[in-house]
Amino acid sequence: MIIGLDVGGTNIDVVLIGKKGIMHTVKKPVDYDCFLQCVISSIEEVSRDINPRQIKKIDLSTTVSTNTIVENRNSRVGLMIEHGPGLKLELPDPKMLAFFVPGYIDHRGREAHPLNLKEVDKGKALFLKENIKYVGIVGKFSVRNPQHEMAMSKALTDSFEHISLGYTLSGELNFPRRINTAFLNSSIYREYRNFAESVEKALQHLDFKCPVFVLKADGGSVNLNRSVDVPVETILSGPAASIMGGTAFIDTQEDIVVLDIGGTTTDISFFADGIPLYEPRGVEINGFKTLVKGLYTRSIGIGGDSHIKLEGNSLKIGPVRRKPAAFGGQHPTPTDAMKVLGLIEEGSHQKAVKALKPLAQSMNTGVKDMAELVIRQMCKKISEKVNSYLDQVNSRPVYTIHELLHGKKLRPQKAVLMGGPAGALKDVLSRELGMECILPKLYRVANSLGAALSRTTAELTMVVDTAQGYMLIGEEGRRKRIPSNFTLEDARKLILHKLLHKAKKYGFKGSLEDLHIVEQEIFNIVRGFYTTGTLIKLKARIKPGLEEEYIND
Amino acid sequence: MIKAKNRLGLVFFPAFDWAISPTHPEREERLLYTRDQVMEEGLLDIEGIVEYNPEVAKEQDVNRVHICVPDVASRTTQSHMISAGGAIAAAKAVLKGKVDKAFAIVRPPGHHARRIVHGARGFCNINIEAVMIEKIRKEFGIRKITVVDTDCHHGDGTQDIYINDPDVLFISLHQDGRTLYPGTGFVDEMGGPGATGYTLNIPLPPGTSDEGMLYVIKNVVLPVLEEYKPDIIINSAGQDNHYSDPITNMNFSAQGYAELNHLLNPHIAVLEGGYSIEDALPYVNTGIILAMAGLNYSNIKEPDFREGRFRESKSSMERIKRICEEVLRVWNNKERLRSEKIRYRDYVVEERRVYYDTDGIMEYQQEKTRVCDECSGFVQLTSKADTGYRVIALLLPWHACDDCAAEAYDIFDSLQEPSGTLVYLQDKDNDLLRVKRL
Repeated sequence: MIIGLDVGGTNIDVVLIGKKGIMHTVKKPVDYDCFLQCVISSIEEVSRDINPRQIKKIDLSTTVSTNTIVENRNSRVGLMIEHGPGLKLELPDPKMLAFFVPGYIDHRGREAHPLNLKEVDKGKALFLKENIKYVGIVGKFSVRNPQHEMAMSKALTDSFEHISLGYTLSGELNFPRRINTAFLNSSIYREYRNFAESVEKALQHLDFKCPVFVLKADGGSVNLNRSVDVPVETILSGPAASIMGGTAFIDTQEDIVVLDIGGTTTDISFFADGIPLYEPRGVEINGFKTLVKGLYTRSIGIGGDSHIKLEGNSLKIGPVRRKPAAFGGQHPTPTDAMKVLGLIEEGSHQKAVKALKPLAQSMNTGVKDMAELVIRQMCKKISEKVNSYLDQVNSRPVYTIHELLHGKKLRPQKAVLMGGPAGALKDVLSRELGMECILPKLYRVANSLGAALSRTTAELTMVVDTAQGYMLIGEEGRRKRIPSNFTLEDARKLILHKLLHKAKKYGFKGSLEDLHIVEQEIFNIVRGFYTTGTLIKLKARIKPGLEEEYIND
Repeated sequence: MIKAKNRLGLVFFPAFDWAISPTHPEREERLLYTRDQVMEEGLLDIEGIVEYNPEVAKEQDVNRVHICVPDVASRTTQSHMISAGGAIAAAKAVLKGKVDKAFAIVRPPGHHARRIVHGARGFCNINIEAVMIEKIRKEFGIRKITVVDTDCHHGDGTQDIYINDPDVLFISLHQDGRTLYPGTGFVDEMGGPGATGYTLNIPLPPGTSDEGMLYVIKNVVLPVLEEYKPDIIINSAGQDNHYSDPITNMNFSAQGYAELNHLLNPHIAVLEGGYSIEDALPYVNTGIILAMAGLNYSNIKEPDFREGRFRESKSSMERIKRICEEVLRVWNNKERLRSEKIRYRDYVVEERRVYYDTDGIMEYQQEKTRVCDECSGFVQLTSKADTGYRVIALLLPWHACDDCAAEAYDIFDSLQEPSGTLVYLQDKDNDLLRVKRL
């Protein structure tokens, strides 16, 4: 048996899953003042009458990282940055204390200017004087050669609570995002570690000895202990939880749209051939663009509780949220329209009718017609947005002739609907989208379900440069000498092997077959008129997915 | 968060799966390091910089510019249509108002491709800027255009295409043709009888650095633009004036390129040549992108660049100043130079040889331009290549007068020999190309 636990802004959702599917669910309001107690009591409740030894693992989805940033409770961070020539940086956040160190690594990972260690010492002195406890170290092109970052880190060891090294956080190129990612990682370290320790304590108290996993923004999970060093990977894992949970019992082997229709917003995401779509460069939180891998989601300001207004002759729905009249509010909302049409059970029919009446009158129509118009309008708006995001996704920049002419285009024929108003909108939305709409049975516990079932994910990036005679796994930072006859096949084998090793440390249970090379580039390096070597770039990944053994509806 | 002052459209298409041949400078690897630099600098995250995919240009788009012998399909590959389509996508983004400016970082280049195309010259099959220009003239009714070609090689193809078109002012800055391919681009190449003075060539001595190049921009290009007042300025942004370029001899830097772009302030820039793929392109392209977006480029420099590494010698600066004066004399005396060129003739005839270095083809051309006061005059090009093709091309300019049109159509219809000759009639106003084989 496994337990999935979603700690949201208002509720804690817990689900207990056995070989035969969902055995028990619990939903409780969360009280952040006695947070630990809430977690303990909800786990206790869901696993009542179960021997803790029977629980194989516990999966958490948490907003701790996200909230620490959004609520500005993060720590001040000293950033040691090797900038070199290039775009002038702007580091506007008051919690970033930046110190720039001379030195430069170029795009091939060659040292163009040595690192100035005297300056590093000056930076260290400054950080200590400023009482900095958390540090980020970032160099330009450090994922091509991390030696400068490593040297800086060595000079700073033992003087600070935590140091985030840029190259360890992602193998992708993007210096400003690398800085933001390292900053956030160090910045939320303290709060996240407290959370992780509390959870561990709570589980010890309950006598649970099973491994604990945390959901990441990419829809995969990671061992709680491991995640303490990279808390930034757990930001924005909420949408990932609901997407993974919502589609848990649905065949996603084709292209699909996932719509999470809430009170205030509707979140749109996509699956391509069964794999959730990622943000191309990384997720953004509170204005910080990061290198954190995360699922593609676009929020639009329209939901069940959106305020309906008449502007001229047309209806405007959202983005302001109001309490629906049917539930004691003062303003008309789509929820009231649903109530008028009998599409939802709860709430007051009379109040809903009363709220819609003025709108109906000014449009010279009956209340029922008005309600239908509202629903149609809302679904039309959602459908337009879905199509416009699809267009954007399908016109993403590509860099080869083959991809430009024959690249994969997303053409979903199915939509999965989640959230409170989903059921009421299903038919109209299906008409507007021209797609079959599916309601997962268990969307009310989608988040905890998503956390519970998600598989461990991991990713590695590799650069092989036979002209310079080295290979490097970006995130691991070990530059290794290789023979000049090192081939693409060698590289592919090696990266998969390394990824499996890394994933196992993260708690991965699968085998080599679950690992995929998702990006591959190979270039001949020609100097003069001779080929002097080969440049190979590979990215291998365990794609997010669900643990199949628990999925048998 | 950095925000661009000018909204900039970027069509970045490195064509990572195409090369002329495996070790050719125009190979897969060419824009690899540029891509890495642009990604690492995070330029695509800057608010206001938008990336677009290229379009695929159509045969008709090419036929508006070139006479491809025997036809477009046999002289081009998809890579050429996409490169030209990249320039078109950049121009459309600007003209539709989606962005203020656009930069097409595409390959292969195009500025050596002339009106008649028997094969590839200087790595170019079709002229990507010209295909773009003719497309926007047709679709957006743009009238006055200036092309400033800052590639190190003379833009002889673009010059040839607009030689008799006063609505496209062509200005080329390049290394002196006596020292570099294609061996043309002297001050006395100043345009045909219908557009004398609307081709300006500024050949620069080898070793010219930032100081000399920027002097030319400030003292010739900008004053001429001020007077000409084009609707659109296009920069053929070759990057082989760079001090590290392996096939040229100039001393321009990334900082100089950014400054040049800032001064010139083009609406659209299109990458041309530039084969120092590791030491120049990553930094030059970054510099141009920042300059076009109106962002601070003062910290863009090559890792091995030192202040004062390249200075213009006194004698070289004197020479550059003299060339500038000569060019301005051409510009200021267009009318007189035109009548000297015409000398009361009805037709002006010129002969030339064109060498296609990439494909090893020699072509002999005779150009006969009708002197016309109503329009810029139709052109009859007779061409013979050592591939065996014989061509007569009748080229009607934009806004052709009735007399020119009647005469060109008349010749097209009446030509009967020599047998085997391919006869083309290109009519820009009606957007058509007629072909027949004698």
